[in-house]
This record gives sequence, structure tokens and C-alpha cells, in this order.
Amino acid sequence: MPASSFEKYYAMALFGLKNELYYKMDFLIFLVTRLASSLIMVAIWAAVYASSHSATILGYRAPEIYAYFFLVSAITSVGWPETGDNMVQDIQGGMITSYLARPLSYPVHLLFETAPDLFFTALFLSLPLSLIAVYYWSIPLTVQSVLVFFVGLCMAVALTNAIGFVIGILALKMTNLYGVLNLAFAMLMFFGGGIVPLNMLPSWSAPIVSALPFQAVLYTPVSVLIGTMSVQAAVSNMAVGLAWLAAIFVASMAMWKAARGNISTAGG
Amino acid sequence: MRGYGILEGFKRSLFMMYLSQVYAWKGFFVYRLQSAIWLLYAVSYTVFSIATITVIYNVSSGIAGWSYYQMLILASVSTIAVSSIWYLISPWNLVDMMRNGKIDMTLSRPFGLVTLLLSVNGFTPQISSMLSSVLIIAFSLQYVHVSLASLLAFVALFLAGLVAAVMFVAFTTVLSYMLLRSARFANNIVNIMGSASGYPLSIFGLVGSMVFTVLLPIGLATYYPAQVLFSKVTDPLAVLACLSFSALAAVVFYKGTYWLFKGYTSGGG
Repeated sequence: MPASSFEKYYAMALFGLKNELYYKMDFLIFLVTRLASSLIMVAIWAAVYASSHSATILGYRAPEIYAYFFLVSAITSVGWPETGDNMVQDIQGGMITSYLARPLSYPVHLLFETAPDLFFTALFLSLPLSLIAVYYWSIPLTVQSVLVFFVGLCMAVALTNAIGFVIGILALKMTNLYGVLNLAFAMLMFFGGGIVPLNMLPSWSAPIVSALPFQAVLYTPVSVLIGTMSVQAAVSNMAVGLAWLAAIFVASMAMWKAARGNISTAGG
Repeated sequence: MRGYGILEGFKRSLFMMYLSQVYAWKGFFVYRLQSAIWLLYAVSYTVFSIATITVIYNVSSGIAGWSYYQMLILASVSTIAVSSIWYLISPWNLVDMMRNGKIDMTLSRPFGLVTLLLSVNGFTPQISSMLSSVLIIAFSLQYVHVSLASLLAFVALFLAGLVAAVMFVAFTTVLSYMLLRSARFANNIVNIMGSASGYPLSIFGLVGSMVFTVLLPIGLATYYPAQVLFSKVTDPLAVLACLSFSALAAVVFYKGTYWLFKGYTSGGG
């Protein structure tokens, strides 16, 4: 009996999961270094607050800033454009031709191949970092704030991977796209509030930051969870992010349809 | 005559490094659009550190004992140090070469192991973050009083610390391959060093300071030279002790890299 579509993609997902589990120590190292990076930011801001004459800096108390960077780390742990990474490897290695010969949709295949890694990372990295932030610094939670944070996390995954897919299509024309992938992630970090909270940036940057989708998936959900932004303001910001996501998704599908027929590879 | 042989060997190693740089840059600029994107990405390191420090000093009084321009210089020195490490030795590239056996042909060349490791797999775009950081330092020095003696001591300490840090990363990369067959450990160690070294090590407490001096010796190339530059440390004995420790660390990790490589088995070919 021929396998259903879901069974085929499920097999891909299992393959992706097994790939991730080959190097278990890599995952532990990633967890430890993420924790270390967050603790470094805590130490930096602890020094800033220690020399400050005020208990708050632009509305942030010290525990809120510490929690902010832990939660940012929780979201950016799943914010790397995995689909772009995998797609670049498939195109440059020539394996894409074999994937296209199969009775599978390549974009859906990418999604199922990437999903286990993202789920694993979210469960064993994002969740612990979030729990540490919330419980160690006593961040009061509400149902709405947790929901907004979760939606932001999902949007971060969707947005970065949609951008990654668009970048991956460029692999048909360029030989080394890791610079573009890294630059995209750097933009997420800077314009999303991963380096400093966005309300600390100069006022002239506000229109730029508001127009881009990155603040919707990083700064907004984190600010709602720690209580420095209202849910209403968050919904408005995230609507911008959703609009961008929809536009990037439509553009990526159109680009893929145009590019699919012109694929030729040297490897495989 | 042994000294003459060592000098000749050093000159040959330098020439090998020079040739490898020529080929690396030629290969890098074959694809101009890609190279422009990589150079732009590398500059983002400098932009991020400057933006963070500028924001901190705009919204608060900053870090006690360090002025805004002193912090800019410290962050830029850190960027230069870490970028130099990436420029000379990319853990991902080196481990990849060891896993697929590409390094075997390199190792058959008549040069020392460390010369070969440093000449074949660096990350050339880091030059743009180094150059942009030098500009930031030059700009900031207008606002910071620095004596010639402290500047010379700074340069000596920075170079000695940088050699120690590069040897440490070479050692850690080979160790990462030997133990885990992966570069992630070494790569993330360098990332942590980069994150922490742009700020005074004193903010991490005694334990943190020791970690970034002895275990992850990036402080030898960043924090301690900066302290001497700004005359926060003026005792010549302290400067000499730091120089000696950097030299010792460089020798230990240099020897350690050779020792680890004795157990290297090719991953393919």
C-alpha cells in the first residue's frame, strides 16, 4: 500500500531528528554556551546598574533587564534560518536534484527536515532559558503575556526560516551564501532588540525599527512577558510582523516556482 | 649556527604565511558580490559592540572607572583580537579539513605544523572588522590621554596576548576534533571570549577574571593591555609579569597543539 504524503514527510522528519542526535555533545555545548552568553550580558548590565544612581534605566529594573537577555537568547536559539542553511547545502552538494525527482514537495520536505531540530532546541534550550528568566528573577506572568511570548517564538521561527528559504533560492546563483545568512541573523539581532532593548535606541531609529518585522518577533514578545509593554501594543507590533511574514511567504513561493524549472547542479 | 637555522626556519614560515594570504585573498575576491557581503557582515561585529556601548553610556553612567572613549577603545581592541583569531584560524574550516582528509596533503608540506594550520583555513573577511576597529581606536584616542610609554607597553602586551590566544584556539580546535569530531566546542569558546572581552574583566568577579585570563586567555590580549594603555596599571613588574605569562601560555598551547596532533588520524581523502 503506497505511503500517504504525511508518512513520507514524517520519515523525513525522523531522518532529520536522527541527524541531530548523532552529535549529542554538540547540543550540550550549544546549551552551555548560550547560557554563558546570557550570563555575560547579565554581568555587563549588573555592572551598569551598580554604577547607576537609579534603580531603573529607561523603565527597566535590573531583574527585568537580566530576564530580557535570557528571553532574547531563548528566542534567538531557534531564530537561525535553518531552512536556508539546509537548502544551501542541498543545492551546492547537488542533492536537490534527487529531492526534486521524488514525489515530495521540496519546501514541505525542508519544513519537516528542519522541524525536529527546532522542536528539540525549543524544548531543551529555549524552554529552560525562559524558565530560568521567569522564576529566578520573579517575573509575574499572565496568560496573555505567555501567549504573546509563545506566538512571538513561533513567528521568529517562521520569519527567519521564510527569509532563509528566500536566501536559499539565491544559492542557485551564488556559491557561498553563509555571509547572507549570517547578515540576515545579524539584522534580526540588531533591529529586533537582541543587542539592546529597542526603546534604548535613539529616537530617529524608531520609524525604521517599527517598519521592519524583527521587533515583532524578538523585542515585542520579550517585553510583554517581562511586563514593560502592554498586550495591546504588542498585538499592534506583531501585526506588522505577520504582514511581513505573509509577504515574504508569498514572494518565496513565487521565487521558488520561477527557479525550480532552471535548476542545474554540478554535484550529486 | 643553531640560531641561524631557527631564524631561517622562521623566515620560511613567514614566507609560507605570506603566500597563503596571497592565494586566500585572490580566492576570496573571485566572487565579488559574495566578498562584499562577507566584508559587510564582518563589520557588523564592530557596529554591534559600538552600538551597545554607546547606548549604555547614553542611558546610564556606564561602567564604573571606565569612560565612554576608554570603553570604545577596549571594545575595539577586543574586536581586533578576536577578528585576528578568526582571520588566522577558523575552527569550522580546520575541523572540516581534518574530517574529510583535506589537511593530509597540507601536512605533507615542509613547514611546521602550526605554520600550516594557521596558513590554510582562516576567515579572510575579518579584515574589515579589524580595520573598522582601528578607525574607532584612532578616533577615540583624541579624547583619551595616553603616554608614549604606555602605548608601547600596550602594543607589546597586546601582541604577546594575541599570540597566546591564537595558540589557545589552535589547541582547542584540535582538541575539539580529537574528542568530539566537531568544531562546535572550539567555535563557541571563541564566541564566548569575544562576548566577554569587550568589557572590563573585573565586572565578572574574581572567578570570571581568572577564567578569561588563565582558562580562556583572551584577557591577555585585551583587558590587561588596555589597563596599561590607560595607566590604570603602571607598575613595570606587573607589565613584565603579564608579558611573561602570555609568553608561557603561548608556549604551552603551541606544544600542546603538537602533542595533540600526534594522535591525529585522517578522516578521509
